[in-house]
Amino acid sequence: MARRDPGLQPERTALSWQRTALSTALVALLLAFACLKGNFPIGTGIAALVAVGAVVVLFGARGRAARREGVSPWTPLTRISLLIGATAVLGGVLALLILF
Amino acid sequence: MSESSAGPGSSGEPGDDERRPRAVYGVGSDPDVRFSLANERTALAWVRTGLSLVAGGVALTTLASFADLPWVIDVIALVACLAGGALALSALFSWRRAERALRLDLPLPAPVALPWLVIGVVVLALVLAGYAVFELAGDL
Repeated sequence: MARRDPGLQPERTALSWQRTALSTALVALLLAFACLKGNFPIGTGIAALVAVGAVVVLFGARGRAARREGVSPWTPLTRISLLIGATAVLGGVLALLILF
Repeated sequence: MSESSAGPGSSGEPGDDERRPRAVYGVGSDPDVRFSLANERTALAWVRTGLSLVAGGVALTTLASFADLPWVIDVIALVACLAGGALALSALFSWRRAERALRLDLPLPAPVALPWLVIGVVVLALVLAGYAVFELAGDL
């Protein structure tokens, strides 16, 4: 059961989940800012919740895969990507704050 | 009908199979794991297609709120958002149908959403092209 690896199928599926969760989070953030600009706070709240849910799915899938493999989910690559992502989000928020 | 779920092909212990939905996992026997994973990836790709439609719709509304664009743009944005949501739902249902077909060793169902998506994209492109021509003719 552990070593069935024909063509990296589980990895490809996990990556597919990551792509989907990431794009969901991005679209939800876009929608949240659009609602913020259109003075529609309920929409902003719902979209922000969706974004948080997508990120939770992303890290939940990572954690499950890491537990299955018996390694830490916090590889150096993950930490660097998280730092870059956090910086990008901060920059985006700052730009939007200045813009509006 | 439910007797067929305990057919000769059932693998493992039927008692501790807790996977949901039962409409999918209650029938047939587990297929090759690669087929299930590929089915899951296909559904996720459909979800991403729907998401990009929603993203396009949101981008169009944002654009329309910046510049004073005509109502055609708003209608197109609305249609794109709704079509994206419908596509995500259809991804779920086609995943279920394909997984059932895999488990029962039946031929795979045809991709129902594909012709609708193609028709929608073509109509959208034609409407936008017609709008662009209309604008051009107005300018000349």
